[in-house]
Amino acid sequence: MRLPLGRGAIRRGLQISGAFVRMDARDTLNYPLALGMQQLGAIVPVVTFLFVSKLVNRNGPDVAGDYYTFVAIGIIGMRLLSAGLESFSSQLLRTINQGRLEMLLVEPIRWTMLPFTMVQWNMVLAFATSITVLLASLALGAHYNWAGVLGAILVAVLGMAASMGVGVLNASVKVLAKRADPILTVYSLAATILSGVFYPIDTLPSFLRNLSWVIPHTYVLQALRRALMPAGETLPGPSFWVAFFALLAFCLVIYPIALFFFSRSMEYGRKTGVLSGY
Amino acid sequence: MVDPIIKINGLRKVYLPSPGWMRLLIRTSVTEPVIALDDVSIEVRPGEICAVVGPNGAGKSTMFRVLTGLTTPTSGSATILDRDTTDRSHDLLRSIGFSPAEHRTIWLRHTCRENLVFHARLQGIPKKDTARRVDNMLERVGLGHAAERVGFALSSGMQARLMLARALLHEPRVLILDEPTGSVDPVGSYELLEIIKKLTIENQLAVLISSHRLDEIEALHDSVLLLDRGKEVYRGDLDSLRGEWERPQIEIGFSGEKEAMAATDVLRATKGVEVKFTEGSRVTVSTAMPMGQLLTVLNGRVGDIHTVNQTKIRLQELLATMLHREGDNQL
Repeated sequence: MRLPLGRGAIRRGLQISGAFVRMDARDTLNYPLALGMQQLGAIVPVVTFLFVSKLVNRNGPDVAGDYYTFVAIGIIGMRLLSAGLESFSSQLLRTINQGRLEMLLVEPIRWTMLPFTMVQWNMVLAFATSITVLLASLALGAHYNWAGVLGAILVAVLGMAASMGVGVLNASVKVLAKRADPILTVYSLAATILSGVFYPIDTLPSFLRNLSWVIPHTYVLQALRRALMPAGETLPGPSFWVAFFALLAFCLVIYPIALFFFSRSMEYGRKTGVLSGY
Repeated sequence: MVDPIIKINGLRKVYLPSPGWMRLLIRTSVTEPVIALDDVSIEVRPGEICAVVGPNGAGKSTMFRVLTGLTTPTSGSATILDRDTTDRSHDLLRSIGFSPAEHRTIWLRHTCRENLVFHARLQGIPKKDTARRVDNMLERVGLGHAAERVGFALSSGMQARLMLARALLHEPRVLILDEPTGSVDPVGSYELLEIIKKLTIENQLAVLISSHRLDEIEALHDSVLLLDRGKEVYRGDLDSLRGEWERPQIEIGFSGEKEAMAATDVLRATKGVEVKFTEGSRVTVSTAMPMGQLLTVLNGRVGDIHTVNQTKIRLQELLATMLHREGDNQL
């Protein structure tokens, strides 16, 4: 297995990413109603939690004094991380269903480059949607620390990269299983419960709370809240930089493993002739 | 003689049933080993078109998959420009132009130009050369006027041309076309094949083309590989194939049905003559016997003969006969 590293590989990666972004962007813009509905659908959770926050009326130090902003950041973060997790698998399935996988695999592209180059538009779209959600929550009364935006972007990108690593691991099963997303399903369920999207993880029983810190999502949400909430520094748990380096370490561990398994799956699919089936 | 570009030697591909753990992921219908290719050998030189013919399940697509690196052979070898296709090196892949049977492989919501530009990027064609190459290729396949038309708005024939343009854009040495005229009307097919023939000569390409339409294979006037259930039934040029297998059909018209029936009895009793059918006053026979000798057999009835026509057996019939005999041998 060769990792897609080095200057030449990066230049080539950008060239291929650019080609996919162009085609995928056109595809998305060809369906304006679907795009509009998607943006509208993304706002619904922050509207719902406006009322939930009034009901809960919880503004203690574990939510940095503002439950609504706390949960709005959780929703935005979760959206970005889901894009990182699911994009490659969904792109792969779409390519198989549209009969384009074989054609793609005979192009002179390293297979380990596909997870990075095929998903760029989804990432851009996820960022755009997150901005829509952020603006909607702002209009509904959330408070943000604008000085922390750059840090938030940095950690969001790193978080998406970490999620993509898990997504690549999932794709190595998907290449052979076609429809099933076992790793994604288990991971997403765990992340939704344990990462503290809707509640502080201190609310969890202690044995689950310890498990929370195994999942990169928890670090991303922690760092995002610390960066974006006006009283974010008062939140219990690791600091922004601890969360940042934990994510970095996770990326360094997950990518070689995920790319190794993806590469092995592709080779196995090639040998058995199941790559283009569905 | 020029060295071959494509060399396949004793190629064998066996698809094995999935192991138990794999059946947890996805169920397949393969319960015992399937021999998709069995000891197939072929060579294709620059400027040569080899038609790969055979019924469904003959192994045509598997052979193409091996050549394009999409699957690996169980034994034997396949090389292109002396590079093993199992390597999947970028140089190897750049030397292949591939057009799969599936028309959906083009981006149907995008224009012809966008489809080709996308392919150019994946092939690593420099940006400064892309526009010129795309325009040039669209012109060569007769799609210059439809450059801004989206895939959905193209006829099947035009989609096939776009796929051909995509396969040729990066200037490959080898062209592998899996049923390029599958859903194209006869006129469109003829035009497409003419383009392929012209480009093969001009660019000195080694071309492998599969088709179910035998009139097209005949129109290519080149070599043929006949496959059946993964085995090679015939390999060589079409003229040798005809020489080896073909026996001309002779249709003899008599003055009446009674005379035709009487002549049929005589011909049936003659060694080396096969009576294909008798219809009204006409008898059709297949024989390698010279015409004069055949008329001598009918000596007593020459006065009843009104017409004699000699016709060539159609390629379709010829290949069907060969496949049938091969099947008999296997049984």
